[in-house]
Amino acid sequence: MPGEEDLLDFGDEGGAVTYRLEQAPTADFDAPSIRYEGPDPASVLTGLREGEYHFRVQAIDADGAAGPWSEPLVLHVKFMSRGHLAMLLATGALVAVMTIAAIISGFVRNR
Amino acid sequence: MFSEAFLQFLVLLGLIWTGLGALTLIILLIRDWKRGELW
Amino acid sequence: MTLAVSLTTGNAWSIVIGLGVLWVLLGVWWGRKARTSEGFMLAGRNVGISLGAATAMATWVTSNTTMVAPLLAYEKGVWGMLAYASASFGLLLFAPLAFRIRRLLPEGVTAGDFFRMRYGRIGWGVFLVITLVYSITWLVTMAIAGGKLLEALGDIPYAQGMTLILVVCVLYTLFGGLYAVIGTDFIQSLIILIGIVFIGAIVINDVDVPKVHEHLSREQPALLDVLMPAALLAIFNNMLFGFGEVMHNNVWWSRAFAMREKVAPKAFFLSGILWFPIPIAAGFIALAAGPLGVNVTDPSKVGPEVAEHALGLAGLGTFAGVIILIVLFCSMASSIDSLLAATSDLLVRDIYEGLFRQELDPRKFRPVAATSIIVVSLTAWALALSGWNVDQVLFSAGALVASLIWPIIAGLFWKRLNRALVITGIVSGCVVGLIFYFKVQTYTGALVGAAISMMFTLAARWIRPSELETPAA
Repeated sequence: MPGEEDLLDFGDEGGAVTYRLEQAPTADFDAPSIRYEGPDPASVLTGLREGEYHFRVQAIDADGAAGPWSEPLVLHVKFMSRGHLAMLLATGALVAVMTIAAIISGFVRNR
Repeated sequence: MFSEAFLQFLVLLGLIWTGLGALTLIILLIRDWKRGELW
Repeated sequence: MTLAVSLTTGNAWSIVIGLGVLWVLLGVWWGRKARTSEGFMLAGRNVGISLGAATAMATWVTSNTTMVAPLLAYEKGVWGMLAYASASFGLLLFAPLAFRIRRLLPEGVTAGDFFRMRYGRIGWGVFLVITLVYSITWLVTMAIAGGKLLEALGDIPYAQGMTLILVVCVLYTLFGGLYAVIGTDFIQSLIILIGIVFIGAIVINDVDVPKVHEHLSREQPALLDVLMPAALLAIFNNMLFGFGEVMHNNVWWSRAFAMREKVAPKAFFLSGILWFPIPIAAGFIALAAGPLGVNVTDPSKVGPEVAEHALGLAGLGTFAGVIILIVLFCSMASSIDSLLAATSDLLVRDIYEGLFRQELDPRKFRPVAATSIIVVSLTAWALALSGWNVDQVLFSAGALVASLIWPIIAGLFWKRLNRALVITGIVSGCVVGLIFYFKVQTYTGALVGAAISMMFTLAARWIRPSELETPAA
């Protein structure tokens, strides 16, 4: 999905007080960062650039004890091809510019 | 990437412009009212 | 899903009913100025620039503007906000159109009058089908949004909240006609503008821009990209969709007829200028979600959620729900009332008088006008209750309304054209545009509709054109 949002749903761990969502660029979670830590069982991600992202989540109970990590999820973000985009933009720009020009020229000629 | 300066500019632009819009409408309303040109 | 609400159900009811009673009372009071059908439908053709600019701006601010602008910023970043702001171009471009509309149709009442004059009964019929589909759909989406808002903010059951909002708008439109619509639009426009500035200022106060930029660069870098494909690919499609919406719809034509002739172009131009910064100011608050530590679970609610969080940080937590509800309610009401009035005008003028060829006594218009308002609102109410996915219909209508852009430009400004070719272009644009919308990509529907009808209309200028009657200079 080109650059839109992705909803990560952690599911419901009965008894969990907090969820911790970790993100890393590689499958071994070598350089992890904490994306979200809190009571919501889901989070929406936006604004990721093209590439590969690995996620895993763990539940933390009221005593602060962390449960096991979930199965990791791999997310591939891929944007539409530049060629397609260029064609779309060119067509759109042409129609928009011609439309605006027609209005302005029509107005000026008929004043 | 849009720079921090641009983002700052955009945010201020959005807020100030919107605020000026409200002010403009009020001023125009008073002017129309005084001239009896409201509706 | 409900927000972490600061609004009790009782308070939510009170606010909507309280504001509702105010609008209805004003509607009754202003409605006394409407002694003839022209007064009711066109506010005496004498509206000045302040009320004119405000009503055009407020009507184009829907709950979409205030709710979707943050959503677009959250998903598509800076370009998302800027692209949405370009929807103001439709209002700006309507200024030269309004100028010509008054010249061409000095006694005009609806957009239907133009289509009947330029494109005959067939073109008129095609236009009516398109505009009624689009207008009712737009109205239904507003009603649905209202119901969902009251449910999310105040825990009011959807059916009740939706009905309440519609009833309020119907009542003051019924009593006051376009006078009530325009008068309340002015008050609503001020509330919207001031509300957005207030919330935006609070958000900026809680988290400054350098922090926002730093957070986005780290965690959501694509939102700051200058070349973000997802944001760019819909830009021209949405722009043309916006052009089609404003240029064809009787909501805007009725305002052009209602304002004083010299005022109309200036008022529309000013309304575009006033509208432009709103998606930017509203959109930015979504970019502050990350740095404020707001976890987003439903992107369609990112605006109110961040606003509520920010207001809470500023110690205004108890008022957050109140402010949000009032601003959103005003955004909806200012569009719903306009749609009710303008669409029922079409039923009165184009269907009752035009199609059924009934004589309308200008002083005995109220029963007919009232009936048509009630017919429109009941239809919308029923559709809003049906649970039908109406957003899909509204977005697909982009192909329909964009196909009317060039026929309108040609009909207003050109000296000769081939009527049949233009009408063929409208229908082709609709059909092919819809095919592209459903089969290729949604963000190509309006663009394709506009492009196809543009080609036919350009051809209509050179292939066996007939002379168009023009007004004495």
